[in-house]
Amino acid sequence: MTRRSFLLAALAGLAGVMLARPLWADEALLQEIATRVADAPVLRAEFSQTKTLAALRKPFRLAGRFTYAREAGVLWQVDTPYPARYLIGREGMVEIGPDGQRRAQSGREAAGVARAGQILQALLGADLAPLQSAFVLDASRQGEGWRVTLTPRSAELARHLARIELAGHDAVEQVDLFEAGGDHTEIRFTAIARATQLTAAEAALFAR
Amino acid sequence: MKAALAAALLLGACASLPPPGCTALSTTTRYCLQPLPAGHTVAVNQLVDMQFPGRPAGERLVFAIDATDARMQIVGLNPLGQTVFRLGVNHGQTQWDGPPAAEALARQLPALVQLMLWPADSVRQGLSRDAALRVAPDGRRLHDRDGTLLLDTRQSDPDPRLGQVDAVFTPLDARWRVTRLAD
Repeated sequence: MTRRSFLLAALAGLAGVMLARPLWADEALLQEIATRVADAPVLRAEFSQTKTLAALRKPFRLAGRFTYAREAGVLWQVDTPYPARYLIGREGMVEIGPDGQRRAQSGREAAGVARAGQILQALLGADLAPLQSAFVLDASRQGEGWRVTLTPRSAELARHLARIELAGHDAVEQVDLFEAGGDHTEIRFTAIARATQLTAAEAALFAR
Repeated sequence: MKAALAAALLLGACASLPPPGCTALSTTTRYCLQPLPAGHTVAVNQLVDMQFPGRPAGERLVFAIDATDARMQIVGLNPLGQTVFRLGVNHGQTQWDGPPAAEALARQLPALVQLMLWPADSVRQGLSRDAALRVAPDGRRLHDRDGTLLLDTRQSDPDPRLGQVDAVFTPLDARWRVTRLAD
């Protein structure tokens, strides 16, 4: 790097620091969001998911419900257009068949699913701190609510994922995933309810 | 001269390989991808339950299919809606974006989809001359010139893009159940 280009880079960096909002403002808001959202060990909601695929005319829609257990993971139950049940946790994802039989993901796909499971669990709990190593977090207020944009730090992740946007009030109400290739997944959560413990049926499904 | 000889040798070596855009269904029968007839388009999401030898539990994927003229896109999604692969076909040239281990099988996918779903006249145009395709309101049967059954489908609706299709691809010993997902 020549002296002149080094100076330009240094000036650009300084300008960036001056133009950026103070770091503490985001961190305070992120902490506030985590406090507002993660105050229950169990969260239940219905979801509607729409995936818009780049260059395809017909979007793909799913609907169902989920149970988020802070200590155990996420039970994701698709009701339409077909029934499907999945347990998603930090260790990965297990499919639960109609007969109750469990099938774990294996191979290379499992690692990606496990990572996605970690992200999903963190997103649903608005437990954003662990995501800061992989994403740049930008939080803002939206009226009474909030919005957080997660932008991948690594070029490798950015090759697949452009950004994730979260929005809500006292819970995460919408997640938008923008893939690098142009696909967009919107997940809306409704009928959000908090609880202190799992039902017996849920506990049986979470038990591995 | 040397170049001409090399080209001749190369052509000879490739003579048994199907040309781009074509898939060998048996030693004597191939299918070459066909454009949709003018004015036809396909834009469907289908749940596909697949069973292969050695995979008794099978695989369940959603195929999002979008086709116009000579272009076709197939996106494979897992039941959670995560993209597993993306396959594009443009005038017979295929482009694959997915797990490398699945590429060889997936490159046959556009042909299998067309054999099941495309208008029968289009399918006939893409088949080797001596292959026999019989089409009935409840399904399709494809035999090669030796009479070997290559494809047997049973469909719940006269239009295979609607309802449910059960297909057996004999050369791959693969069974598919294809169910159209509501819009």
